[in-house]
Amino acid sequence: MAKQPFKVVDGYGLPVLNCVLMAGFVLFGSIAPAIADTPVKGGTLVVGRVADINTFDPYNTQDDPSIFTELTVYERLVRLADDGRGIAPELATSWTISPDGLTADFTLRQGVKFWDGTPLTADDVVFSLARAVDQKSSWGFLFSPVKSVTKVDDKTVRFQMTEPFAPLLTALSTFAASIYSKANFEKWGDQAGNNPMGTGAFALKSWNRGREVVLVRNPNYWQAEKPYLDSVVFRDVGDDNARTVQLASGDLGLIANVPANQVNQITSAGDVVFRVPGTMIGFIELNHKVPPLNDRGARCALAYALDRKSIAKVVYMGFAAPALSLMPAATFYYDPNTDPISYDLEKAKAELAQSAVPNGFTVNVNVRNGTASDLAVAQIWAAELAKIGITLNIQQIEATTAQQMVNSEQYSIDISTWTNDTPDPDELMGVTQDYQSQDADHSNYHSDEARNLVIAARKEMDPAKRQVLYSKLQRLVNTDCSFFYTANEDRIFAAQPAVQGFSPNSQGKYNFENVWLKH
Amino acid sequence: MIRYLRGRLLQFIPVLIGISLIVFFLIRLIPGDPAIALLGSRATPELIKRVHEQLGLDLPLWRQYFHYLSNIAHGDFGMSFFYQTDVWTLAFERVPTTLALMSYAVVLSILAGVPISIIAATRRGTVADEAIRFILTVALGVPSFWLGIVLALGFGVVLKILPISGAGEGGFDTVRHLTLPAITIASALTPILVRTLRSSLIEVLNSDCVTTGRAMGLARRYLLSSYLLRNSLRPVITVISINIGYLIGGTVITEQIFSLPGVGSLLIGSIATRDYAIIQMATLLFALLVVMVNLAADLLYRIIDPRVQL
Repeated sequence: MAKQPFKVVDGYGLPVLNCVLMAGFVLFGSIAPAIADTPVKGGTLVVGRVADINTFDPYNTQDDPSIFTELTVYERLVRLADDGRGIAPELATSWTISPDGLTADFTLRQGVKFWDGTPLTADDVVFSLARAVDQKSSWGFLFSPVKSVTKVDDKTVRFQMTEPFAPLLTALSTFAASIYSKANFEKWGDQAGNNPMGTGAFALKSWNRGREVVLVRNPNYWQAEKPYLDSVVFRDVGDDNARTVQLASGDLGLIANVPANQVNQITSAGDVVFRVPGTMIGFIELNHKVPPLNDRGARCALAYALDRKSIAKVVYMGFAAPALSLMPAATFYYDPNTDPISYDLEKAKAELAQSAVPNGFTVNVNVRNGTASDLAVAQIWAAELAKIGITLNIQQIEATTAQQMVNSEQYSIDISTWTNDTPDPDELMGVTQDYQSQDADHSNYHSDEARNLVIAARKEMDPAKRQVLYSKLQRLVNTDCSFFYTANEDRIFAAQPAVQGFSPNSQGKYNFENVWLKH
Repeated sequence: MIRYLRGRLLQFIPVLIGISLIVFFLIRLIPGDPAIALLGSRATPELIKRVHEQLGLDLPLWRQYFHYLSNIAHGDFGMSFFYQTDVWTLAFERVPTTLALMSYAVVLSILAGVPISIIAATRRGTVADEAIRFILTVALGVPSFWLGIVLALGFGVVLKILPISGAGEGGFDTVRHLTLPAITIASALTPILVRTLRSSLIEVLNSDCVTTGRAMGLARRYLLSSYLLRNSLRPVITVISINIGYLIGGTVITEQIFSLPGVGSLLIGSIATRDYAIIQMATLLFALLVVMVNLAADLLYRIIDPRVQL
């Protein structure tokens, strides 16, 4: 739920959408990177990212650079399958979930070693995952029905739940469920977050804060022949233009967070651009306590004035699709056919006329400083609203201050970007619709119908029945005009042509174990 | 002289305490809680409370400041909230890069500024003088974040003759790495230098001693080196010491563009994350730099002009 970069992708049971998503990584100017050549070993890949990491301890992790680095140095029991649609084994080779959904047993892969050569044991797994499900940890809420994690024998780890918990496997594929060495963690004490020990393809060599994180090949990696690269360097290059220029000069081999307006420049220089569609969604949160936002008619008038097509085309320069649900399009159980709210000024007028404020009103909207796309969304929206007598008062506010205004509920409307950390909708739906959760967002939207649907869907183990519940919930968001969405924004990476095998999966994992450099 | 120096150095203490006080309270006045910066949208009251306790932010402000001061007196500048490491190490290992960059930019400005000023002053009112004025006005107006990118594109991407990221491995490699950032900063500093130097040169050119020298038939070159340049050194020092703050601002932006591991880039990142300890440390370092440069300027005045009494 880190509200910036990445994640997700793919829907269950939605064939048309899946086709689009499977076309996933579109390449401009040339053909998609064929893995026809045989990978060669060696070389260093320098990756330019917007910010430094904060920690290697998943317990306290909040920022995206840390999340994606942890996904590289640690592994988890399971991972998202390459097609983004299912769950594949990683440190667990198999698992069984009891028919009542209350017990799950995982069989551990044998012969896995940490970077220092010590073997991975069931104790390490239990230690890491007991911290992950701790409700005091930053991400404990992802595992709230998990009662205990215990060792059954040297090869088996058991999860016990207080109630059936459908999102268990996807939650276990997130960075929050990373597995690390218990002995190493205990050795370092409160400095453990700076001194990781994992089983991932790359081991930490050095961390020069504010400059770079250097990872080197894990000599004990369990996947034979992998990884191919000698090392991966995550370098902080905060300036968007500087990242693009440093890719062109060869200082960087791969860059993340490419602004859409730089794509042409990059492809014309012969470099390669990757798009991951549907991973992020433009998200507009309302404070339902502030009149007239407590009035459905006023909210719907605002919602129908959002021209999503123009936003996708103009603001994101085509690197986005108009959103059709509050769920990002790549989320499981996404349903675009639940009466999505589309641009219709006549309907907006009609909704306004039936509201408590038929003659229009003025409302403040917060946009984070420096997020040009959010500002443009607000401006396009304000221009439309002006036509029906609603004045949008756009306030540009520094990011941390804007977040504090939301958290303390001192805001009316807040525009930002939402990214799910798991492909399961439970995370986003939980924080937006379950108003009694301690992790509820700050919208003051109190609907028992919505809350009951979230809870029922979390417990429902049958995918078909879960789909029905989530479709109902998405429809409810649309009829209630409770939360607004704008566009599913593509995630854009760029790399030098020599970089092969780079394919961020639907969770956004960088997959450096498969990356190699063509000479 | 030694007494003077001791007096000035003692003055540093109240100045730095004053600055630490202002910075300490100013950054706490900015809305935006470090706990929220760390926790983001999921900052529940419990998590915020836990982070506040961890970071010592639950204490009254005056106690926090007192702790901060007494820790500094013991050589402890605090822990970074974000990195959970000692800020002294974090900031101090970056000082050489920032100092090298600033010095390089000053040297480039002098190397370019002095000859340009002499041409402008001795050829006052000519096409050359006008052209210099025009070019330097444009240079002053160009924002450094734009110029830096253009230089990086030109010299790093198209010509591929200079590196555009990082500070290199030391020695000549570092000089190469710092060249484009230093040019970026110097391009803004040089016009200010030339403007001051040109008018002071014109003043010297019109002075009695130069007129007498000319009447005595002294060679132009001799006049330039003995009278003009010596007399022009003072304004150079003045301009650079006054603009030290501006120079620091320039390094903050330039370090960001060229991914230099300096104090400036650390400061920028820390403001967004409300990493109080780093902001305080970096600001103190910059403040120390400003007072030291001013002291050095005063001492230099004395050396180049014996009439100056300290």
